[in-house]
Amino acid sequence: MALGEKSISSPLSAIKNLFKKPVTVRYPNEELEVYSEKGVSERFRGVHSNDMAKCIGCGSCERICPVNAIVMTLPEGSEDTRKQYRPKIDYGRCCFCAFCVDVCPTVSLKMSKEYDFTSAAPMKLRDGEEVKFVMDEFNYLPTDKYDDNPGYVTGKKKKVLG
Amino acid sequence: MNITELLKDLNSRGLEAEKICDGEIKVIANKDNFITHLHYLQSINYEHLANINGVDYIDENEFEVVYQIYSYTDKIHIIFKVRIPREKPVIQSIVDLWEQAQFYEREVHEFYGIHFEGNKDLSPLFLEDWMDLPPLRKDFDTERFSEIVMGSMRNGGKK
Amino acid sequence: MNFDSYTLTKIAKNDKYTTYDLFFGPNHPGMNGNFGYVLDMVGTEINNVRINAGQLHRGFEKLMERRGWVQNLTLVPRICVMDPDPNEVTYCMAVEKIMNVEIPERAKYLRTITLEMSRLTSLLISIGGAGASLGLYTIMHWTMADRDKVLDMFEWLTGGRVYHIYNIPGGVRRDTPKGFLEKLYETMEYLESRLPDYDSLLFENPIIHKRLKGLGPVTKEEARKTGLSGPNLRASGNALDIRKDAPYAAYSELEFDIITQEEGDAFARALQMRLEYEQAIDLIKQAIKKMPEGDVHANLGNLGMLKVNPGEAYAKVESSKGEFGYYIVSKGEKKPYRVSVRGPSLPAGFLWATKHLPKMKIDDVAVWMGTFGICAPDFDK
Repeated sequence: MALGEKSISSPLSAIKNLFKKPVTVRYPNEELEVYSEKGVSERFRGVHSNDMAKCIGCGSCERICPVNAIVMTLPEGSEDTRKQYRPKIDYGRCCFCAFCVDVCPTVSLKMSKEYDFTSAAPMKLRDGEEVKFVMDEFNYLPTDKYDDNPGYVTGKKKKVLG
Repeated sequence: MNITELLKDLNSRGLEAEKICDGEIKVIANKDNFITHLHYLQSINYEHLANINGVDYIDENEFEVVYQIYSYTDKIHIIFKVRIPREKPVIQSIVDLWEQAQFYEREVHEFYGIHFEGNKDLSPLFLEDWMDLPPLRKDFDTERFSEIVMGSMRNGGKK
Repeated sequence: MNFDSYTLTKIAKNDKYTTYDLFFGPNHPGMNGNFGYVLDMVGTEINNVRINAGQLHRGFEKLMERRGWVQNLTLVPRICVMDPDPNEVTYCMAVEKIMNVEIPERAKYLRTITLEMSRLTSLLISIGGAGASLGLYTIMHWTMADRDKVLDMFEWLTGGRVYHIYNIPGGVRRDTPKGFLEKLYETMEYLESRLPDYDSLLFENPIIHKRLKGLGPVTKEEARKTGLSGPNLRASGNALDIRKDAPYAAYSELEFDIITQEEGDAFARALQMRLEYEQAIDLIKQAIKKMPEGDVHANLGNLGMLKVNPGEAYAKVESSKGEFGYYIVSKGEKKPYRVSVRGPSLPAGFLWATKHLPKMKIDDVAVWMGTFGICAPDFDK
């Protein structure tokens, strides 16, 4: 009815909500069913994944990160030239803005649809040691582990950031 | 009136006015007699005071207090700027003209250290027990503050 | 009967605890945002108000002076939590005014659609909050469930649900995916079909009428002179709207009227929110039908090393709570010299609190805040 009209059966109009399906989703037994595929959307900004063969170690992602979350480090067993450095991301600082994906010149750094990033600390650690253990785990070197589940993928050729 | 008439009117009163873009002009006034000009602007229907800001020009050794004024009938926005010296930052308050200026001036006093004469209550609004320099000045070093007071570190060592 | 002869009232008159300080403070279930009032009380009536703000101060204005022009876009939406898009658009508009750059047509329509969708999410929280601060929790559950549908649309377009980081100086970041505009039209029709339920629960409820009518009146001239803006200004009878006075994005090509109410009390402000909600749904439907083809951003070179020419500008935008204004000063370098943020809740939360709250009862403070649209993050910065 339009705004301002009254009727004696107004309180009973809420009974139709008894027979509707609830809005909540019982994760992980059920999955979201909003988009054309199950789960999150096709442009979701989740955990990073890096194609180690395509990355050339240029450092553009380190220069544009607004919160200094990326540091270029040398993985174990590589020689010390510029081309062998790979980005290492601190997930305590990352704000998931995807500027690093937009400026990558070889389309090697991508963001996947994964959002579950947990770490289990052993029970025998005490206060300060447990914090240091979790901080070390959150400094993550992205590999191509999540490359089969791509979410936000662009690159410098698409000219998203100019 | 439209923009060209307003510019001619303000320039003939002794202010320096120039146009920035469509619908916006900027006016530079002197700190001794700017209140008479604000009275005049309020009488020709410029009645919306949006904000009072401070800017720190450390190379020229001056502070600048900026008033953002707008008129609902002319639809023109004025950026009204007044410069004061950095060693003795004192300026007159405009609480009698606009009531909301009391809270805007409290915020500028807390972050820059500029004293407004005539404002009865200049106690701190946002920060609590602050002992250091006023924070938005250009000689306040935030990196040194976070390292010494909070103990935080830059990711990946010193720059 | 002579009540003065009762011994209890005789004792209470000499009690030193008849006046006390009450912290209507940062942690209160009827509060939206984290800020507090210190109320000087006599019985259940308020005598005086002191303001206890600053719990959400994160220092954005100083942080923005140390980062480049594009890197600041990750800080800017976090200034207002419910309504993050007007902040991004205003920052980009001020930078475009200094650089004298025009954005393409399709980018203007995409900015309009995201601005109106963000207005819907903020109004849904406000309508739910106005009911929940009186004890009616059902309306809050309904509006939060409907808000989820709009956040799902945002996730499909930009990748994030609450902080989108979608606007850049020169346009928007990416074009719409396939099938997005048709699904958005269906979502708008679903939201319109829920309005009769909200009306019969909240806006036609005789208890709500009795509680809200006559609370906190604001006259027509006072609203203009003390700096109120947005729905609070229009609920007192002024027909003023930034989307008509100084049009930005694609508003000069869409058709809509300015809605006003006469009384200026709390019930008029709540009704104004509901009518603007209906207007926003209509604007999105018009913009979907009229959208042109083309580029989505102008070519400004490598944005990671952008240098803006020296100058200053002030840009403003009509958000769901009022006028958001940014004043930017640039000296020709890679970082801004001064960015100043003006939030819309400062005149309402500070000045009108010292005028309305004395002589009001303690039961009405929470609903007075809910209908006035006071949101703490945008004046704490």
